[in-house]
Amino acid sequence: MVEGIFTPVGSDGLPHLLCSRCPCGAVAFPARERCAACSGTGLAIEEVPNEGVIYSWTTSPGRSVRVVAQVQFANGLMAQGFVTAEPSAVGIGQRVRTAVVTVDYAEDGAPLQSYAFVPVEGEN
Amino acid sequence: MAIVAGVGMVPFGRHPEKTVADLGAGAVLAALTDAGLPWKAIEVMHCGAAGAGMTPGTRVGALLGLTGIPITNIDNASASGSSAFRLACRDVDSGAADVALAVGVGKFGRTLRLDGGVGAPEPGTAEFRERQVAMMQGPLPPAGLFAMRTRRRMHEFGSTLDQFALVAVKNRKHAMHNPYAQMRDPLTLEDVRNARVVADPLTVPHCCPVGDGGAAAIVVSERKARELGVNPAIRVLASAFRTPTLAGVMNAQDADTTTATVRQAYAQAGLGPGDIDLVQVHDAFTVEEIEYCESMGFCEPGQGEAAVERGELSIGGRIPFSTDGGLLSRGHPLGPTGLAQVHETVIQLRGQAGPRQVEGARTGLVHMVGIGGVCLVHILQRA
Repeated sequence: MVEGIFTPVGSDGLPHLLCSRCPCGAVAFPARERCAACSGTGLAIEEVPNEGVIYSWTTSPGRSVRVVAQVQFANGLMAQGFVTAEPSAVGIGQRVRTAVVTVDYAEDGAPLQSYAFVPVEGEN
Repeated sequence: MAIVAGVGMVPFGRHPEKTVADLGAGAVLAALTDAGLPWKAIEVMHCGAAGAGMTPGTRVGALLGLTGIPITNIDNASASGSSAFRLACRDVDSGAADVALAVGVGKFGRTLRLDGGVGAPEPGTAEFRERQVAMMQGPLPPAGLFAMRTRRRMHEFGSTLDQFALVAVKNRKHAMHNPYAQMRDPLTLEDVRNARVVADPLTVPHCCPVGDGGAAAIVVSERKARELGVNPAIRVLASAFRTPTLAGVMNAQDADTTTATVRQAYAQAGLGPGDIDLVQVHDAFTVEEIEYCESMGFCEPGQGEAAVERGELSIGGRIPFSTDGGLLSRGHPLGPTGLAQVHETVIQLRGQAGPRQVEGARTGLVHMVGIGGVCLVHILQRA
């Protein structure tokens, strides 16, 4: 588990990505120490809303097809991550929630706990 | 103002029998022959290469002869060769040199390591954490990001995947007439549709090939050009170089940086899109040619697909793009690609492009993007 990327149990009990927010308003994920938009410091860590909307998606080559998407959140952030669904069940505009999963990576063999996006039931 | 006096290339493709230095030296010798200059005439040299080991340009120079000149090595990813060209032009423009050389080299398998060739990082190090965070976000090949750009564009503008495939088909047609191009077999829309998927929805022909190659350009001062009788003189009217300013906006950064860089180049040259006769573009993926065509002001946003479909970006069309086949078919060995674009532009502006000649071409725009947000644009014009 890599610290500082997400919280499995946020202030509302749900998993959340952790982004930085600059006093100028710019958000960034993973969190930054210095703002990319204004070079300012004094950035705060913010919980990203648990739910977001798929902005675009593709598949990652590997042992099995894995969907990777860019997800837009209501706090202004766009983040990239895995989607736990078959490509045929994924689409732009689809609502997804943030969850914590373990993905086995072929490169070093060691399982790594990460966030992933899960399609919200009943929506497509 | 810098004048291109000579260009040279080693055909892009596979050259297992040649080292990176051999490829560079081959290109330099071709450019020297083209310019009618001996190696000893070169006063300063810049070499662009991406991940090709330490000082590849210095090794090129050593093969040609130890003349003691300053040789700078530049790694700006795909835009390394373009960066070398810019520095050579600036050496001439500043009066520091009358004859400057830009060369680019690249070799498949020696240029793919993005980690500096040091292997997997040790647990507990900053590099290890950086790598894990990248893996958590979904590791993708470069095609993955462009696949998402393609899919988003299809959603926003209602474009079809075939419209993007037409860029690959068009650029292959151009490459079939270019002896320096890596991919010269005929390519149909059916071929693009039926090829293996790299990153959904992109199949192999939507993505440029990797390969080996070298390319070089010699730039000289006005005074030197008169002395050599360079005719026609190809002038470098603009050299613009920018990195991104758009923070946190996925998918739009390369097109946004291209818009800003091209605007700067137009201002330097005192020209606009209506003055440009042909364009060499960073078409590593089919969606890019369409996006950047709009960024450069040749089409309104959302109209790029229709422009390709109507043949406007083909040789014989309104504004031919990627006349040598582009990255998609001429090939993209990273380091030399920007200089292959200069090579093609110079050949076209001289009227020496044979069956792929753009009739009456006088002004050409050259555009490269490098990973991490590097963008370079040059405008060349026949005097």
